[in-house]
Amino acid sequence: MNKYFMYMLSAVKCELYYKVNIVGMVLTSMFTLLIQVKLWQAIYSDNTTLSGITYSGVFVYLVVGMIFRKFIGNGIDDAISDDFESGKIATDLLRPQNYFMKSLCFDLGRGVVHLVVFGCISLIYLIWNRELVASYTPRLILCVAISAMIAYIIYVLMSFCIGITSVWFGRSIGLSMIKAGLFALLGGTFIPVDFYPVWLQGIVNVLPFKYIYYVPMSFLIDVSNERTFWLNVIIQILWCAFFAIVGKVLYRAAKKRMVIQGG
Amino acid sequence: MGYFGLWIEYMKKAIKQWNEFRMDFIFISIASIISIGLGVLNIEIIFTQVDSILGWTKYEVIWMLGFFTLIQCIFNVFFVNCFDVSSWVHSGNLDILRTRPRSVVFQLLFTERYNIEFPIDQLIMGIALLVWSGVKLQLSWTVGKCIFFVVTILVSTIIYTCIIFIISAMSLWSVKSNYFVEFMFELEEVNQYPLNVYGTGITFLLTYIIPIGFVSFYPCQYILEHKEYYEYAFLSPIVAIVLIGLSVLVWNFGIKRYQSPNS
Repeated sequence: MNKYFMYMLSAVKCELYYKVNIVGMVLTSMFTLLIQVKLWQAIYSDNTTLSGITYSGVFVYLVVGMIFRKFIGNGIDDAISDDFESGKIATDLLRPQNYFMKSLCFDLGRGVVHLVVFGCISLIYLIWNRELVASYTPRLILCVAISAMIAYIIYVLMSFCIGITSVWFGRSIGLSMIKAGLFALLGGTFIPVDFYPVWLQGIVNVLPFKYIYYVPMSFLIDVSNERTFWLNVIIQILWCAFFAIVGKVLYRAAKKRMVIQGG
Repeated sequence: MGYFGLWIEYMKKAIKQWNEFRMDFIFISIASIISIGLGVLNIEIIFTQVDSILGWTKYEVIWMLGFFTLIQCIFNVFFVNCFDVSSWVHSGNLDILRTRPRSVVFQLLFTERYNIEFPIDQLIMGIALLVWSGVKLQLSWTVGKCIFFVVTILVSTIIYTCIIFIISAMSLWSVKSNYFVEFMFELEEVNQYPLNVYGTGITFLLTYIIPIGFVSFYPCQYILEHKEYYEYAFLSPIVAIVLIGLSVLVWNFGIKRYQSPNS
Protein backbone atom coordinates (compact mmCIF):
# COMPACT_ATOMS: atom_id res chain seq x y z
CA MET A 1 0.00 0.00 0.00
CA ASN A 2 2.85 2.26 0.93
CA LYS A 3 4.42 2.21 -2.54
CA TYR A 4 1.17 3.31 -4.17
CA PHE A 5 0.93 6.14 -1.67
CA MET A 6 4.39 7.24 -2.74
CA TYR A 7 3.24 7.31 -6.36
CA MET A 8 0.42 9.56 -5.32
CA LEU A 9 2.79 11.80 -3.40
CA SER A 10 5.12 12.13 -6.36
CA ALA A 11 2.20 13.07 -8.59
CA VAL A 12 1.26 15.76 -6.08
CA LYS A 13 4.82 17.09 -6.20
CA CYS A 14 4.84 17.06 -10.02
CA GLU A 15 1.62 18.99 -10.05
CA LEU A 16 2.74 21.58 -7.49
CA TYR A 17 6.03 22.20 -9.29
CA TYR A 18 4.34 24.08 -12.14
CA LYS A 19 2.68 26.79 -10.11
CA VAL A 20 1.75 29.00 -13.04
CA ASN A 21 -0.06 26.00 -14.45
CA ILE A 22 -2.18 25.67 -11.32
CA VAL A 23 -3.08 29.33 -11.48
CA GLY A 24 -3.98 28.81 -15.14
CA MET A 25 -6.13 25.83 -14.21
CA VAL A 26 -8.03 27.82 -11.60
CA LEU A 27 -8.54 30.81 -13.89
CA THR A 28 -9.66 28.69 -16.83
CA SER A 29 -12.09 26.70 -14.72
CA MET A 30 -13.44 29.88 -13.15
CA PHE A 31 -13.97 31.33 -16.60
CA THR A 32 -15.72 28.16 -17.79
CA LEU A 33 -17.94 28.16 -14.75
CA LEU A 34 -18.77 31.84 -15.13
CA ILE A 35 -19.72 31.33 -18.77
CA GLN A 36 -22.00 28.40 -17.95
CA VAL A 37 -23.63 30.21 -15.04
CA LYS A 38 -24.25 33.32 -17.14
CA LEU A 39 -25.75 31.28 -19.94
CA TRP A 40 -28.11 29.50 -17.56
CA GLN A 41 -29.01 32.84 -16.00
CA ALA A 42 -30.04 34.06 -19.44
CA ILE A 43 -32.05 30.88 -20.04
CA TYR A 44 -33.81 31.30 -16.70
CA SER A 45 -34.35 35.05 -17.21
CA ASP A 46 -38.03 34.61 -18.12
CA ASN A 47 -38.88 31.55 -16.03
CA THR A 48 -38.43 30.52 -12.41
CA THR A 49 -38.58 26.77 -13.02
CA LEU A 50 -37.99 24.68 -16.12
CA SER A 51 -39.13 21.03 -16.09
CA GLY A 52 -39.55 21.38 -12.32
CA ILE A 53 -35.92 22.41 -11.73
CA THR A 54 -35.11 25.75 -10.14
CA TYR A 55 -32.23 28.01 -11.07
CA SER A 56 -30.48 27.49 -7.75
CA GLY A 57 -30.54 23.72 -8.33
CA VAL A 58 -28.83 24.18 -11.69
CA PHE A 59 -26.38 26.67 -10.17
CA VAL A 60 -25.18 24.27 -7.47
CA TYR A 61 -25.10 21.48 -10.08
CA LEU A 62 -22.74 23.58 -12.21
CA VAL A 63 -20.45 24.69 -9.39
CA VAL A 64 -20.07 21.33 -7.68
CA GLY A 65 -19.98 19.68 -11.09
CA MET A 66 -16.99 21.81 -12.02
CA ILE A 67 -15.17 20.84 -8.81
CA PHE A 68 -15.91 17.21 -9.59
CA ARG A 69 -14.71 17.60 -13.16
CA LYS A 70 -11.41 19.05 -11.91
CA PHE A 71 -11.09 16.01 -9.68
CA ILE A 72 -11.69 13.37 -12.36
CA GLY A 73 -9.62 15.24 -14.95
CA ASN A 74 -9.25 13.89 -18.46
CA GLY A 75 -8.71 10.26 -17.56
CA ILE A 76 -5.54 8.20 -17.73
CA ASP A 77 -5.85 7.11 -21.37
CA ASP A 78 -3.10 9.46 -22.59
CA ALA A 79 -0.64 8.27 -19.98
CA ILE A 80 -1.42 4.59 -20.62
CA SER A 81 -1.19 4.83 -24.40
CA ASP A 82 2.05 6.79 -24.06
CA ASP A 83 3.49 4.02 -21.87
CA PHE A 84 2.61 1.39 -24.46
CA GLU A 85 3.69 3.38 -27.51
CA SER A 86 7.02 4.54 -26.14
CA GLY A 87 7.86 1.25 -24.46
CA LYS A 88 8.08 2.81 -21.01
CA ILE A 89 5.76 0.03 -19.92
CA ALA A 90 8.80 -2.30 -19.88
CA THR A 91 10.12 -0.78 -16.66
CA ASP A 92 6.66 -0.81 -15.11
CA LEU A 93 6.28 -4.50 -15.85
CA LEU A 94 9.60 -5.26 -14.17
CA ARG A 95 8.59 -3.62 -10.91
CA PRO A 96 6.66 -5.56 -8.25
CA GLN A 97 3.45 -3.61 -8.65
CA ASN A 98 0.02 -3.65 -10.15
CA TYR A 99 0.20 -1.50 -13.26
CA PHE A 100 -3.40 -0.34 -12.96
CA MET A 101 -3.01 0.62 -9.30
CA LYS A 102 0.10 2.60 -10.15
CA SER A 103 -1.71 4.54 -12.88
CA LEU A 104 -4.72 5.09 -10.65
CA CYS A 105 -2.65 6.47 -7.77
CA PHE A 106 -0.63 8.67 -10.04
CA ASP A 107 -3.83 10.19 -11.39
CA LEU A 108 -5.32 10.42 -7.92
CA GLY A 109 -2.42 12.66 -6.86
CA ARG A 110 -3.28 15.09 -9.62
CA GLY A 111 -6.96 14.85 -8.78
CA VAL A 112 -6.41 15.61 -5.10
CA VAL A 113 -4.38 18.73 -5.87
CA HIS A 114 -7.02 20.03 -8.27
CA LEU A 115 -9.84 19.13 -5.91
CA VAL A 116 -8.25 20.93 -2.97
CA VAL A 117 -7.16 24.03 -4.87
CA PHE A 118 -10.28 24.55 -6.95
CA GLY A 119 -12.66 23.11 -4.36
CA CYS A 120 -11.54 25.54 -1.64
CA ILE A 121 -12.03 28.54 -3.88
CA SER A 122 -15.46 27.40 -5.04
CA LEU A 123 -16.58 26.43 -1.55
CA ILE A 124 -15.92 29.95 -0.32
CA TYR A 125 -18.28 31.14 -3.00
CA LEU A 126 -20.94 28.57 -2.11
CA ILE A 127 -20.73 29.36 1.60
CA TRP A 128 -21.02 33.02 0.78
CA ASN A 129 -24.32 32.27 -1.01
CA ARG A 130 -25.48 30.20 1.94
CA GLU A 131 -29.18 30.22 1.08
CA LEU A 132 -28.47 28.09 -2.01
CA VAL A 133 -26.99 25.21 -0.06
CA ALA A 134 -29.21 25.49 3.01
CA SER A 135 -31.39 22.51 2.06
CA TYR A 136 -28.47 20.07 1.85
CA THR A 137 -28.09 17.73 4.81
CA PRO A 138 -24.74 16.14 5.76
CA ARG A 139 -26.31 12.81 4.80
CA LEU A 140 -26.93 14.06 1.27
CA ILE A 141 -23.40 15.40 0.98
CA LEU A 142 -22.10 11.99 2.06
CA CYS A 143 -24.25 10.41 -0.68
CA VAL A 144 -22.69 12.75 -3.25
CA ALA A 145 -19.17 11.98 -2.01
CA ILE A 146 -19.63 8.19 -2.08
CA SER A 147 -21.26 8.22 -5.49
CA ALA A 148 -18.57 10.56 -6.82
CA MET A 149 -15.76 8.28 -5.62
CA ILE A 150 -17.28 5.27 -7.39
CA ALA A 151 -17.87 7.42 -10.47
CA TYR A 152 -14.17 8.36 -10.48
CA ILE A 153 -13.19 4.69 -10.41
CA ILE A 154 -15.52 3.91 -13.34
CA TYR A 155 -13.95 6.78 -15.27
CA VAL A 156 -10.39 5.67 -14.58
CA LEU A 157 -11.19 2.05 -15.49
CA MET A 158 -12.85 3.17 -18.70
CA SER A 159 -9.94 5.36 -19.74
CA PHE A 160 -7.55 2.53 -18.82
CA CYS A 161 -9.34 0.29 -21.33
CA ILE A 162 -9.18 3.03 -23.98
CA GLY A 163 -5.49 3.67 -23.39
CA ILE A 164 -4.64 0.00 -23.87
CA THR A 165 -6.30 -0.10 -27.30
CA SER A 166 -3.34 1.91 -28.62
CA VAL A 167 -1.53 -1.44 -28.85
CA TRP A 168 -3.87 -2.43 -31.69
CA PHE A 169 -4.59 0.93 -33.31
CA GLY A 170 -1.16 2.54 -32.94
CA ARG A 171 -2.63 5.47 -31.07
CA SER A 172 -5.66 6.09 -28.93
CA ILE A 173 -6.30 9.79 -29.51
CA GLY A 174 -9.40 9.09 -31.59
CA LEU A 175 -11.04 6.86 -29.01
CA SER A 176 -10.16 9.33 -26.24
CA MET A 177 -11.84 12.08 -28.21
CA ILE A 178 -14.93 9.93 -28.71
CA LYS A 179 -14.93 9.25 -24.98
CA ALA A 180 -14.70 12.97 -24.20
CA GLY A 181 -17.44 13.78 -26.72
CA LEU A 182 -19.81 11.11 -25.47
CA PHE A 183 -19.07 12.13 -21.91
CA ALA A 184 -20.11 15.70 -22.67
CA LEU A 185 -23.10 14.54 -24.72
CA LEU A 186 -24.48 11.77 -22.54
CA GLY A 187 -23.02 12.53 -19.13
CA GLY A 188 -24.93 15.74 -18.59
CA THR A 189 -21.83 17.89 -18.07
CA PHE A 190 -23.47 21.03 -19.36
CA ILE A 191 -27.20 20.35 -19.37
CA PRO A 192 -28.65 18.20 -16.56
CA VAL A 193 -30.09 14.94 -17.93
CA ASP A 194 -33.56 15.89 -16.61
CA PHE A 195 -33.90 18.35 -19.49
CA TYR A 196 -33.11 15.76 -22.18
CA PRO A 197 -35.92 14.55 -24.43
CA VAL A 198 -37.33 11.14 -23.53
CA TRP A 199 -35.71 9.24 -26.41
CA LEU A 200 -32.28 10.56 -25.43
CA GLN A 201 -32.83 9.73 -21.79
CA GLY A 202 -33.50 6.15 -22.91
CA ILE A 203 -30.06 6.02 -24.55
CA VAL A 204 -28.38 7.76 -21.63
CA ASN A 205 -29.74 5.25 -19.13
CA VAL A 206 -28.10 2.22 -20.74
CA LEU A 207 -24.66 3.83 -21.16
CA PRO A 208 -22.08 4.37 -18.42
CA PHE A 209 -21.51 8.10 -18.96
CA LYS A 210 -24.50 9.19 -16.92
CA TYR A 211 -23.22 7.19 -13.96
CA ILE A 212 -19.88 8.99 -14.09
CA TYR A 213 -21.13 12.54 -14.00
CA TYR A 214 -24.85 13.08 -13.73
CA VAL A 215 -25.68 10.54 -11.03
CA PRO A 216 -23.36 11.88 -8.30
CA MET A 217 -24.44 15.43 -9.09
CA SER A 218 -28.16 14.67 -9.42
CA PHE A 219 -28.60 14.62 -5.64
CA LEU A 220 -27.75 18.33 -5.65
CA ILE A 221 -30.30 19.32 -8.28
CA ASP A 222 -33.22 17.84 -6.46
CA VAL A 223 -32.93 16.73 -2.85
CA SER A 224 -35.63 14.09 -3.37
CA ASN A 225 -33.28 12.19 -5.68
CA GLU A 226 -31.68 10.82 -2.52
CA ARG A 227 -34.12 7.90 -2.45
CA THR A 228 -32.64 6.54 -5.67
CA PHE A 229 -29.19 6.52 -4.06
CA TRP A 230 -28.83 2.77 -3.40
CA LEU A 231 -30.17 1.74 -6.79
CA ASN A 232 -27.73 4.10 -8.51
CA VAL A 233 -24.78 2.94 -6.43
CA ILE A 234 -25.52 -0.68 -7.33
CA ILE A 235 -25.59 0.18 -11.04
CA GLN A 236 -22.37 2.13 -10.62
CA ILE A 237 -20.67 -0.84 -8.99
CA LEU A 238 -21.88 -3.08 -11.83
CA TRP A 239 -20.30 -0.69 -14.35
CA CYS A 240 -17.08 -0.77 -12.31
CA ALA A 241 -17.09 -4.55 -12.46
CA PHE A 242 -17.77 -4.49 -16.20
CA PHE A 243 -14.85 -2.18 -16.99
CA ALA A 244 -12.57 -4.01 -14.56
CA ILE A 245 -13.20 -7.27 -16.42
CA VAL A 246 -12.80 -5.67 -19.86
CA GLY A 247 -9.62 -3.95 -18.67
CA LYS A 248 -8.17 -7.18 -17.37
CA VAL A 249 -8.87 -9.05 -20.61
CA LEU A 250 -7.47 -6.22 -22.74
CA TYR A 251 -4.39 -5.86 -20.56
CA ARG A 252 -3.59 -9.58 -20.82
CA ALA A 253 -4.05 -9.54 -24.57
CA ALA A 254 -1.98 -6.35 -24.90
CA LYS A 255 0.92 -7.81 -22.96
CA LYS A 256 1.03 -10.72 -25.41
CA ARG A 257 0.77 -8.53 -28.46
CA MET A 258 2.99 -5.56 -27.71
CA VAL A 259 6.50 -5.18 -29.02
CA ILE A 260 9.10 -3.15 -27.17
CA GLN A 261 12.01 -1.96 -29.23
CA GLY A 262 15.36 -1.25 -27.65
CA GLY A 263 16.68 -2.40 -24.32
CA MET B 1 13.72 24.19 -51.55
CA GLY B 2 11.30 27.08 -51.27
CA TYR B 3 8.64 27.44 -48.64
CA PHE B 4 5.93 26.18 -50.96
CA GLY B 5 7.92 23.06 -51.85
CA LEU B 6 8.46 22.37 -48.16
CA TRP B 7 4.77 22.79 -47.52
CA ILE B 8 3.98 20.16 -50.17
CA GLU B 9 6.53 17.79 -48.59
CA TYR B 10 5.01 18.30 -45.13
CA MET B 11 1.60 17.59 -46.60
CA LYS B 12 2.85 14.31 -48.11
CA LYS B 13 4.28 13.30 -44.75
CA ALA B 14 0.94 14.06 -43.11
CA ILE B 15 -0.89 11.84 -45.59
CA LYS B 16 1.54 9.00 -44.90
CA GLN B 17 0.90 9.47 -41.21
CA TRP B 18 -2.81 9.31 -41.88
CA ASN B 19 -2.30 6.01 -43.60
CA GLU B 20 -0.29 4.63 -40.70
CA PHE B 21 -2.92 5.34 -38.03
CA ARG B 22 -5.97 4.83 -40.23
CA MET B 23 -8.23 3.38 -37.56
CA ASP B 24 -7.36 6.19 -35.17
CA PHE B 25 -8.23 8.83 -37.73
CA ILE B 26 -11.62 7.25 -38.36
CA PHE B 27 -12.25 7.50 -34.62
CA ILE B 28 -11.16 11.14 -34.65
CA SER B 29 -13.68 11.86 -37.41
CA ILE B 30 -16.44 10.21 -35.43
CA ALA B 31 -15.43 12.26 -32.39
CA SER B 32 -15.53 15.46 -34.40
CA ILE B 33 -19.04 14.69 -35.66
CA ILE B 34 -20.09 13.95 -32.07
CA SER B 35 -18.74 17.27 -30.87
CA ILE B 36 -20.58 19.27 -33.55
CA GLY B 37 -23.70 17.22 -32.88
CA LEU B 38 -23.28 18.04 -29.22
CA GLY B 39 -23.44 21.75 -29.97
CA VAL B 40 -26.63 21.36 -32.00
CA LEU B 41 -28.22 19.04 -29.47
CA ASN B 42 -27.48 21.44 -26.61
CA ILE B 43 -29.19 24.22 -28.53
CA GLU B 44 -32.13 21.92 -29.33
CA ILE B 45 -32.55 20.92 -25.68
CA ILE B 46 -32.33 24.49 -24.40
CA PHE B 47 -34.87 25.71 -26.94
CA THR B 48 -37.37 22.99 -26.07
CA GLN B 49 -37.42 24.59 -22.61
CA VAL B 50 -37.56 28.25 -23.68
CA ASP B 51 -38.62 30.01 -26.88
CA SER B 52 -35.79 32.51 -26.98
CA ILE B 53 -32.74 33.51 -24.95
CA LEU B 54 -32.64 37.28 -24.56
CA GLY B 55 -34.34 37.66 -27.93
CA TRP B 56 -32.21 35.17 -29.88
CA THR B 57 -34.21 32.48 -31.61
CA LYS B 58 -33.12 28.89 -32.12
CA TYR B 59 -32.27 29.16 -35.81
CA GLU B 60 -30.23 32.33 -35.35
CA VAL B 61 -28.11 30.56 -32.78
CA ILE B 62 -27.74 27.54 -35.08
CA TRP B 63 -26.76 29.79 -37.98
CA MET B 64 -23.96 31.29 -35.91
CA LEU B 65 -22.85 27.82 -34.88
CA GLY B 66 -22.74 26.75 -38.52
CA PHE B 67 -20.67 29.79 -39.46
CA PHE B 68 -18.24 29.15 -36.64
CA THR B 69 -17.94 25.49 -37.67
CA LEU B 70 -16.85 26.63 -41.13
CA ILE B 71 -14.18 28.89 -39.60
CA GLN B 72 -12.97 26.02 -37.45
CA CYS B 73 -12.83 23.83 -40.52
CA ILE B 74 -10.48 26.20 -42.35
CA PHE B 75 -8.45 26.73 -39.20
CA ASN B 76 -8.09 22.98 -38.76
CA VAL B 77 -6.80 22.48 -42.28
CA PHE B 78 -4.12 25.14 -42.25
CA PHE B 79 -3.34 26.38 -38.78
CA VAL B 80 -4.24 23.66 -36.29
CA ASN B 81 -0.63 23.38 -35.13
CA CYS B 82 -1.07 26.69 -33.31
CA PHE B 83 -2.41 24.59 -30.47
CA ASP B 84 0.88 22.74 -30.13
CA VAL B 85 3.31 25.55 -29.32
CA SER B 86 3.11 24.61 -25.66
CA SER B 87 3.89 20.95 -26.29
CA TRP B 88 6.82 21.90 -28.54
CA VAL B 89 8.19 24.08 -25.77
CA HIS B 90 7.51 21.57 -23.02
CA SER B 91 9.22 18.69 -24.81
CA GLY B 92 12.18 20.85 -25.84
CA ASN B 93 11.53 20.10 -29.50
CA LEU B 94 11.38 23.80 -30.31
CA ASP B 95 15.18 23.74 -30.31
CA ILE B 96 15.18 21.36 -33.27
CA LEU B 97 13.10 23.82 -35.25
CA ARG B 98 15.34 26.70 -34.26
CA THR B 99 18.46 25.00 -35.61
CA ARG B 100 16.92 24.50 -39.05
CA PRO B 101 17.54 27.16 -41.71
CA ARG B 102 13.89 28.12 -42.15
CA SER B 103 11.52 30.38 -40.26
CA VAL B 104 10.56 28.85 -36.92
CA VAL B 105 6.97 30.03 -37.16
CA PHE B 106 6.58 28.48 -40.60
CA GLN B 107 7.86 25.14 -39.37
CA LEU B 108 5.75 25.36 -36.24
CA LEU B 109 2.59 25.94 -38.22
CA PHE B 110 3.10 23.38 -40.93
CA THR B 111 5.28 20.55 -39.66
CA GLU B 112 3.23 18.34 -37.48
CA ARG B 113 -0.41 17.58 -38.22
CA TYR B 114 -2.85 18.45 -40.93
CA ASN B 115 -6.12 17.03 -39.73
CA ILE B 116 -7.06 15.92 -43.19
CA GLU B 117 -9.84 13.96 -41.56
CA PHE B 118 -11.35 16.88 -39.64
CA PRO B 119 -12.36 19.33 -42.34
CA ILE B 120 -14.53 17.04 -44.44
CA ASP B 121 -17.07 16.40 -41.73
CA GLN B 122 -16.77 19.94 -40.36
CA LEU B 123 -17.29 21.34 -43.83
CA ILE B 124 -20.36 19.20 -44.46
CA MET B 125 -21.81 19.84 -41.00
CA GLY B 126 -21.11 23.58 -41.18
CA ILE B 127 -22.73 24.02 -44.57
CA ALA B 128 -25.65 21.80 -43.58
CA LEU B 129 -26.29 23.90 -40.48
CA LEU B 130 -26.08 27.14 -42.47
CA VAL B 131 -28.49 25.91 -45.15
CA TRP B 132 -30.95 24.35 -42.71
CA SER B 133 -31.19 27.37 -40.42
CA GLY B 134 -30.92 29.79 -43.35
CA VAL B 135 -34.01 28.27 -44.95
CA LYS B 136 -35.91 28.37 -41.66
CA LEU B 137 -34.90 32.00 -41.10
CA GLN B 138 -35.79 32.92 -44.71
CA LEU B 139 -32.61 34.97 -45.09
CA SER B 140 -32.53 37.30 -48.06
CA TRP B 141 -29.25 37.11 -49.95
CA THR B 142 -28.08 40.23 -51.80
CA VAL B 143 -24.82 40.56 -53.76
CA GLY B 144 -23.40 42.70 -50.95
CA LYS B 145 -24.12 40.00 -48.41
CA CYS B 146 -22.51 37.31 -50.55
CA ILE B 147 -19.31 39.33 -50.92
CA PHE B 148 -19.39 40.12 -47.22
CA PHE B 149 -19.80 36.42 -46.42
CA VAL B 150 -16.76 35.36 -48.46
CA VAL B 151 -14.52 38.16 -47.17
CA THR B 152 -15.64 37.58 -43.59
CA ILE B 153 -14.78 33.89 -43.69
CA LEU B 154 -11.23 34.87 -44.62
CA VAL B 155 -10.95 37.67 -42.06
CA SER B 156 -12.53 35.59 -39.29
CA THR B 157 -10.09 32.76 -39.91
CA ILE B 158 -7.20 35.20 -39.55
CA ILE B 159 -8.63 36.61 -36.31
CA TYR B 160 -9.25 33.15 -34.89
CA THR B 161 -5.77 31.94 -35.82
CA CYS B 162 -4.11 35.03 -34.34
CA ILE B 163 -5.97 34.74 -31.04
CA ILE B 164 -5.05 31.10 -30.65
CA PHE B 165 -1.48 31.75 -31.74
CA ILE B 166 -1.01 34.57 -29.21
CA ILE B 167 -2.45 32.56 -26.33
CA SER B 168 -0.36 29.58 -27.37
CA ALA B 169 2.80 31.69 -27.61
CA MET B 170 2.32 32.60 -23.96
CA SER B 171 3.81 29.18 -23.22
CA LEU B 172 7.20 30.64 -24.16
CA TRP B 173 7.01 32.32 -20.74
CA SER B 174 5.60 29.48 -18.67
CA VAL B 175 7.06 26.18 -19.80
CA LYS B 176 4.19 23.85 -18.96
CA SER B 177 0.92 25.43 -19.91
CA ASN B 178 -1.64 22.85 -20.91
CA TYR B 179 -4.29 25.09 -19.40
CA PHE B 180 -3.82 27.57 -22.18
CA VAL B 181 -4.99 24.82 -24.49
CA GLU B 182 -7.97 24.16 -22.27
CA PHE B 183 -8.73 27.86 -22.22
CA MET B 184 -8.71 27.90 -26.00
CA PHE B 185 -11.15 25.00 -26.15
CA GLU B 186 -13.28 26.99 -23.77
CA LEU B 187 -13.24 29.94 -26.15
CA GLU B 188 -14.57 27.59 -28.83
CA GLU B 189 -17.48 26.69 -26.57
CA VAL B 190 -18.15 30.33 -25.78
CA ASN B 191 -18.51 31.14 -29.44
CA GLN B 192 -21.39 28.70 -29.84
CA TYR B 193 -23.88 31.11 -28.26
CA PRO B 194 -24.60 34.81 -28.88
CA LEU B 195 -22.07 36.84 -26.91
CA ASN B 196 -24.46 39.11 -25.06
CA VAL B 197 -26.15 36.23 -23.18
CA TYR B 198 -23.02 36.12 -21.01
CA GLY B 199 -23.65 39.57 -19.57
CA THR B 200 -21.93 42.89 -20.12
CA GLY B 201 -18.65 42.04 -18.36
CA ILE B 202 -17.90 39.01 -20.48
CA THR B 203 -19.16 40.66 -23.65
CA PHE B 204 -16.68 43.48 -23.01
CA LEU B 205 -13.88 40.98 -22.35
CA LEU B 206 -14.59 39.01 -25.51
CA THR B 207 -14.93 42.12 -27.66
CA TYR B 208 -11.98 44.25 -26.59
CA ILE B 209 -9.52 42.05 -24.71
CA ILE B 210 -9.81 38.63 -26.33
CA PRO B 211 -11.72 39.65 -29.46
CA ILE B 212 -13.21 36.22 -30.14
CA GLY B 213 -16.56 37.93 -30.74
CA PHE B 214 -15.24 39.16 -34.07
CA VAL B 215 -14.74 35.60 -35.27
CA SER B 216 -18.39 34.75 -35.72
CA PHE B 217 -20.78 36.69 -33.51
CA TYR B 218 -20.38 40.23 -34.87
CA PRO B 219 -19.93 39.37 -38.57
CA CYS B 220 -23.01 37.14 -38.47
CA GLN B 221 -25.14 40.07 -37.35
CA TYR B 222 -24.76 41.72 -40.74
CA ILE B 223 -26.14 38.66 -42.47
CA LEU B 224 -28.83 38.13 -39.83
CA GLU B 225 -29.69 41.84 -40.11
CA HIS B 226 -29.38 42.93 -36.51
CA LYS B 227 -28.66 46.58 -37.12
CA GLU B 228 -27.37 47.39 -33.65
CA TYR B 229 -24.17 45.44 -34.33
CA TYR B 230 -23.37 46.73 -37.83
CA GLU B 231 -20.41 48.91 -36.74
CA TYR B 232 -18.76 45.92 -35.11
CA ALA B 233 -19.39 43.73 -38.16
CA PHE B 234 -17.40 46.09 -40.36
CA LEU B 235 -14.66 46.54 -37.79
CA SER B 236 -13.35 43.00 -38.13
CA PRO B 237 -10.74 43.66 -40.87
CA ILE B 238 -9.13 46.29 -38.63
CA VAL B 239 -9.17 43.86 -35.71
CA ALA B 240 -7.49 41.30 -37.96
CA ILE B 241 -4.69 43.70 -38.90
CA VAL B 242 -4.09 44.70 -35.26
CA LEU B 243 -3.99 41.05 -34.22
CA ILE B 244 -1.47 40.12 -36.92
CA GLY B 245 0.82 42.91 -35.67
CA LEU B 246 0.34 41.79 -32.10
CA SER B 247 1.14 38.15 -32.93
CA VAL B 248 4.43 39.18 -34.51
CA LEU B 249 5.32 41.31 -31.48
CA VAL B 250 4.43 38.62 -28.94
CA TRP B 251 6.30 35.93 -30.83
CA ASN B 252 9.47 38.00 -31.32
CA PHE B 253 9.48 39.10 -27.72
CA GLY B 254 8.76 35.59 -26.42
CA ILE B 255 11.37 33.82 -28.49
CA LYS B 256 14.02 36.24 -27.20
CA ARG B 257 13.08 35.48 -23.62
CA TYR B 258 12.66 31.76 -24.22
CA GLN B 259 14.91 29.39 -22.30
CA SER B 260 15.07 25.83 -23.48
CA PRO B 261 14.07 23.20 -20.91
CA ASN B 262 16.51 20.83 -22.63
CA SER B 263 20.15 20.65 -21.72
